[in-house]
Amino acid sequence: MAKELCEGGAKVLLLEAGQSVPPAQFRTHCWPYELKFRGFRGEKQDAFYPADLHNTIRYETQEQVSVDRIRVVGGRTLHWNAVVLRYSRSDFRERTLNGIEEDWPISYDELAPYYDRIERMIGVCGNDDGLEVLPAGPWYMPPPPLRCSEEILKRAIAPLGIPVISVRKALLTRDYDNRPACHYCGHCMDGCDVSAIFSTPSSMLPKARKTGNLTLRENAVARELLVDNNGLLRSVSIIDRQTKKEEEIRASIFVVCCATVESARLLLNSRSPHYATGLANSSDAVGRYLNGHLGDGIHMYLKELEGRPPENLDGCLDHAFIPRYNTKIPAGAFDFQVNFAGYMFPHQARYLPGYGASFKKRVREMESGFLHLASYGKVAARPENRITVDPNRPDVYGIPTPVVHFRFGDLDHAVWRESLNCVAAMCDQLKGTITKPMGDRPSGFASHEAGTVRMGKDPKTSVLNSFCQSHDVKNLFVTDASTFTTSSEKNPTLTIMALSLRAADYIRDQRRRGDL
Amino acid sequence: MSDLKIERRQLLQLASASLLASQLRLSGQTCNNANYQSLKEAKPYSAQFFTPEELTLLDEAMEAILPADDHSPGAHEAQVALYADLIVSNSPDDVKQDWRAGLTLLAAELKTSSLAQWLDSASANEHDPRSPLDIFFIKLKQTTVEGYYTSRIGIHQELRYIGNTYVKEFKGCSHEEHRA
Repeated sequence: MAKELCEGGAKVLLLEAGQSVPPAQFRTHCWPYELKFRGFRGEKQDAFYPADLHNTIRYETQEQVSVDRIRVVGGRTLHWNAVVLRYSRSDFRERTLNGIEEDWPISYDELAPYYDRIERMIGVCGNDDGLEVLPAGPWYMPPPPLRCSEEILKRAIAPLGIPVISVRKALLTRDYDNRPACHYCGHCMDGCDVSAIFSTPSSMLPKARKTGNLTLRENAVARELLVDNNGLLRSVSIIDRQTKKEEEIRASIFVVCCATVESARLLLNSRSPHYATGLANSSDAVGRYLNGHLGDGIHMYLKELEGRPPENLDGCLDHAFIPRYNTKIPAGAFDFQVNFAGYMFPHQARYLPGYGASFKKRVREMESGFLHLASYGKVAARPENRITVDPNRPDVYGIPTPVVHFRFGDLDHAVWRESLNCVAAMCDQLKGTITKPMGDRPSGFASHEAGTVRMGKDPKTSVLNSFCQSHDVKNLFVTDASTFTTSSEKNPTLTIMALSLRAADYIRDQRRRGDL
Repeated sequence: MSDLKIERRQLLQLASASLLASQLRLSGQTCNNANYQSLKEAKPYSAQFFTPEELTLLDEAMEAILPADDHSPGAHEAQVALYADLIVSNSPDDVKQDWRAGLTLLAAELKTSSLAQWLDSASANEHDPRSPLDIFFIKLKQTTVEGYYTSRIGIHQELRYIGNTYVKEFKGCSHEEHRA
């Protein structure tokens, strides 16, 4: 968004609560024994998760759900596996086609040109597999080749009619746009030190800076958005994390992109006589319809591969992908990502029974047979699942903190059960040992939470129009996954970026016309 | 990765292995991060929580869980007991108490039973623990697994892991028999 607006001639002030972390400080290529706690006990990259972020969210739920709350320039683009999947035509039409949830106010065909543009902009590897459920664009780099375990999986489950295709990732398999190709170290999730994986700081911000129109202000925590007498946004109140001083910054157009929880939090914390229940919240939909992927994973060890001598299998984590193939509605709305757990740690050692020399030998023998399957399932958008704010529990800056209220519903459990059945069928076809089966209940959100500031045609039931613009406040836009009307089994990032591009075009157009 | 670095790591492994149950040296960095590289000159780790007697018992039990064999050294040489001390000393009080209580129970058990007998009994109940000592075994084993397979010895000598490096081209599977 910032890059597009800067290139369109707008002066853009980008406010970021975190700060820049140069690639030289990423944890990339570290060995576990170089980390204080070997990467266990929740050890994360401190620079991405500063102390003032700790204990600033509450979960009012019995479900196994959590949100990754990163605070750094670039956000989750520094901590992602870069799987980029287009939503299909039917993903935008749940009400019309399946009688559940709501339709989006936008169709696939309207978004497709922006999918095309963003894929070319960020660099995507993969194939056009000719699947209606997973539309493809005109331009992809070659995907990484499949490992032996993935070829065996493909061979074994083909008789079930389950396809295994190459993954689509925002990862370069050849040099592109001044970024080098992947060197297959397997540290994708630690922040790619060479930016072979797309990240905002490495790809978008340099282009925005080049225009001379960008000002990046780090360590700026947004407290609330303030309106003028006409109910239009006039400024944002921020707290500088370093000086602890509060400031008011004025602008003509405001684009909020803080991720699903924080965007809803900011709007709900922005109360005024004009907007007593929170900014842009005449529909009472702000904070509601929270959803995010459900899922789990299995670890299996293929007999065909056990006992082979060690080889470097790291690659770029997952190379293969099982797209949605199950047509049951809505229970078939799940897919599988394959082998992103990494190969350095022998996961089987956690689950195998026994001890001693025979245990140690068995762990060693099994290592080469590792196959990891992780399901990602659709969670329905329901109004009772929501984010609220708690003024009695402010963070260190005195800003009310978010509270997550969430329960999986009947539709979600149906998806979960069907994915379990699918895993069982696949395992029957594969000869191997399962050390970690799927759990007995779903977990979420896999950092794919969405829906708290949803778009829709009706201002009475939605917050934004199809251009991510507030129905209530004309100069307010929101461009993260909170805008999603519904979710599918597919990862959300590519759709977030396509919607942002479309919103940027709309803002530029409206500014040219003098309507904004 | 240069040969020099490999030689240096091997030397450091030998150096650290000799410190047994008293000090853990954190060194031999290869990662990008300057902050982590500052650990290069860190002082050897000394036990912060367990008493020498507890540490000795822990070391003995961990070595029995992942012993030295003709393939690689075991938990003792990998100094997994000190890893456990690091983790427990940085844990809440209830976790510390659990570990201390578990080791106390184990010490009492070993007055009438051998370590091998206890491990046989506890591991038989691994999926259905029936006593506080069974539960302690699970915790002990998990920590041993974590500490060992993230140590230099566990990664490089036992697993002979050869990744975490720059590869110009990823080849993928070349075996016809694995393909559809």
